[in-house]
Amino acid sequence: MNDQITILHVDDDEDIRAITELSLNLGPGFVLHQCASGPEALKMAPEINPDVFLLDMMMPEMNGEETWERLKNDVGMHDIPTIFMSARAEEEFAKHLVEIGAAGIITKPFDPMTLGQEIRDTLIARAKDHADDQTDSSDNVLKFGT
Amino acid sequence: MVKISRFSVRQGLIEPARRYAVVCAAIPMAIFALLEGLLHIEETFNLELGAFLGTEIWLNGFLGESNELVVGILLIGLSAAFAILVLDRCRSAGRLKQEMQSYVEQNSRVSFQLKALNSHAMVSEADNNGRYRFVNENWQKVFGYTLAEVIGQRDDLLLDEGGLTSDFTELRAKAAKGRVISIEQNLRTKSGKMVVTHTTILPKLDKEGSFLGTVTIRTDISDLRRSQNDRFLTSMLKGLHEEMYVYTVEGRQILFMNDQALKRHGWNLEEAKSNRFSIMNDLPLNQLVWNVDKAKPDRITNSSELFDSSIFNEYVGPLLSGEAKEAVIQARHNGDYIEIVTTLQSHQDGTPIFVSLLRDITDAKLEENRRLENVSTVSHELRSPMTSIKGSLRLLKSGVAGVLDEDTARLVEIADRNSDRMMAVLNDILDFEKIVAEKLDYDLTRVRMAELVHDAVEMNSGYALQHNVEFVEGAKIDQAWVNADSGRLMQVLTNLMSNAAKFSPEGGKVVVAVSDQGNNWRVSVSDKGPGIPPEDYDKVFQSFTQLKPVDGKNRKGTGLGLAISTKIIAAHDGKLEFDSTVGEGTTFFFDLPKLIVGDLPENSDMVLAAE
Repeated sequence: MNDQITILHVDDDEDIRAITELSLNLGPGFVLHQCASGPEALKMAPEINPDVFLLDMMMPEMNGEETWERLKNDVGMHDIPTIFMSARAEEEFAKHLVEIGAAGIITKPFDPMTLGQEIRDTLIARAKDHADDQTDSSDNVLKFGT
Repeated sequence: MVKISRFSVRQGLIEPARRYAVVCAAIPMAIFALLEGLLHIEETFNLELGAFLGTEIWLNGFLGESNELVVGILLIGLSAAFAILVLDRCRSAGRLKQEMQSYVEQNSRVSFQLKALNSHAMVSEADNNGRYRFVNENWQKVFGYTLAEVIGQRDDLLLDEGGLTSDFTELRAKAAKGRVISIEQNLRTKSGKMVVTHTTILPKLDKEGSFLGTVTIRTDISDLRRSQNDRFLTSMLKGLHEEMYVYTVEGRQILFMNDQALKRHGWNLEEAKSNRFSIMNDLPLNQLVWNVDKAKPDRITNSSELFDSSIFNEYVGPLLSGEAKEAVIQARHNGDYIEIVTTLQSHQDGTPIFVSLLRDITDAKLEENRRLENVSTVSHELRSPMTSIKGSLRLLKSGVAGVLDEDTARLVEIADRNSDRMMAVLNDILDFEKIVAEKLDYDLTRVRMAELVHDAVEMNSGYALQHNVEFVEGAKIDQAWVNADSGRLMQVLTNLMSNAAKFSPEGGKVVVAVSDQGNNWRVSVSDKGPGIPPEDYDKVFQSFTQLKPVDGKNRKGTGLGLAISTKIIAAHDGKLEFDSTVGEGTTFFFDLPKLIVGDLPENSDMVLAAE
């Protein structure tokens, strides 16, 4: 992983985008791209090739989950870790998204002082999981090979 | 009755006997008078046939010796008179024979009618105190007492204890006035069964009109009344909006379903009767499914198709043990949400039966879900601006936008703290709505209470600091395991601890402890606060209720915390309670059933809620 993490943040709420921007610019380490809707994200994503998607759950026109599906299937960005920003009302649903492969959830209202760290932690945990999976499978290959 | 007929026969015989005597006397008298008359006439013509008796002497004396002819004629006339009398009496004898015959006929007709009466009705005879002197076989058969048992007993032994029958004494008083009484009675047999009779009471009076007793004739109209009642009830049930299922306790065999119920299944009553009432757990969806269908074998696990007797037994258990008058359960049927209210009743023959009323609550459920969605939407709508407000305040506080002067910093702090409160209210409302709508899922796993208490004390240290109190882990049992949703229990502990902190005096201690209560583990949170006055006890668990502060200090909160905690604990088969002494403090506690470790795998994904 690069030192610089490129983020595509999608949220229809302009103020939240502003706070997120302020929050992630508190220190170095993030390159932030933002847009206000799913369709915009589908256009932007291939251009900026982000390290992580930060998606609002509830958006008009195309919601967070749908945007994620389209990013994976239509744009072909299967492996980009995706973090959803969810209000507590949708937490059950958010849990479900993690079960089917999302990297994590950041609950709104989030603390702008720690948002960057939360994103970093989520990505580290995700990378570790992946590494474990790979070790597991290589173990299996070895066992079968011998 | 027998006496009455004998009496009338004797009366009828007196007159004919007298007639016999007259006839028997009149015949020899007529013959004698005729002969005597002829003698006197012969004497006139010098025929000496002899003379005797006083008639001749008397007539001779009266008319003189010379008037023999007159005497003879008079005597013959007398004999003719006797003859007429005899003839008349003979005709009477013929009539007598006829009368006798008709009496015999009448008598046999009466005894025949009596026989009919006895085979149809219950006949009893009582004295003027209502003591039985006679009851017929039918009476004995219906009321279950033998003749020997009732003779001398008072008639009110048939009285229903519930007092459904007008008093026998009252009836007797009416009869004593010579009135024939005709009423309907609800009477109790020896075995306690109720019998409805149509009753006619005839008073027995002597010649002077004094009351001797009564003869009572009853016919059993229980079946009639029952069928009338049945018709009445059936027509009432037809109009009932709820579906009604009546079925046996043993085997759950359907005995009756009302029209609404039959309509759901498209049956007539005969078709319905071959079915059984069942509640099953549809395991893949983990929801209760109700149905009435062909008998299926019980007690085979891991199949959603089969009747799960344990669920049904758990449902009706409190009814059978007498703990509850009615049992309520919600289940699904073909996509509908239904609520089943069951009571234990007694069938006409005394066997226990279940009566279940079934209500379609799909609309109510959908309405609830809609309301929940509305609340979620509102909550979300509020949350987005709150995210911005809180985010801005936090960034301001951090000094990102420049260092704040003292007053600005204070104002930002106030705004930040209150936005936190607003979030707490939003979260509480959301939780409460979910709990009310039973939308809250409980992920049950085995939970070690000591660990939970420890975590709760650590996690809530912020509250302790804020209110300048100390959270202390009290007595705890290392191996106290329960089957619970640890997150939800933590929510309850947090609520109880924050309440305790709010109400504690400065520097006070709040003790969180676990203790052994037999079948349960008890978790308690105790404060040394002002206590709850008894008059406020019933308000403690009410939603949106904040108690008036005993010590004059106002505390902030939504008034939903305890209402939510109560529901969460209830979902764990426990009950949230409290002990409080004004001036000493309050202890809130809840008991959870002990889990024997090994009962449940570490990560059981069993879920409690119906949804």
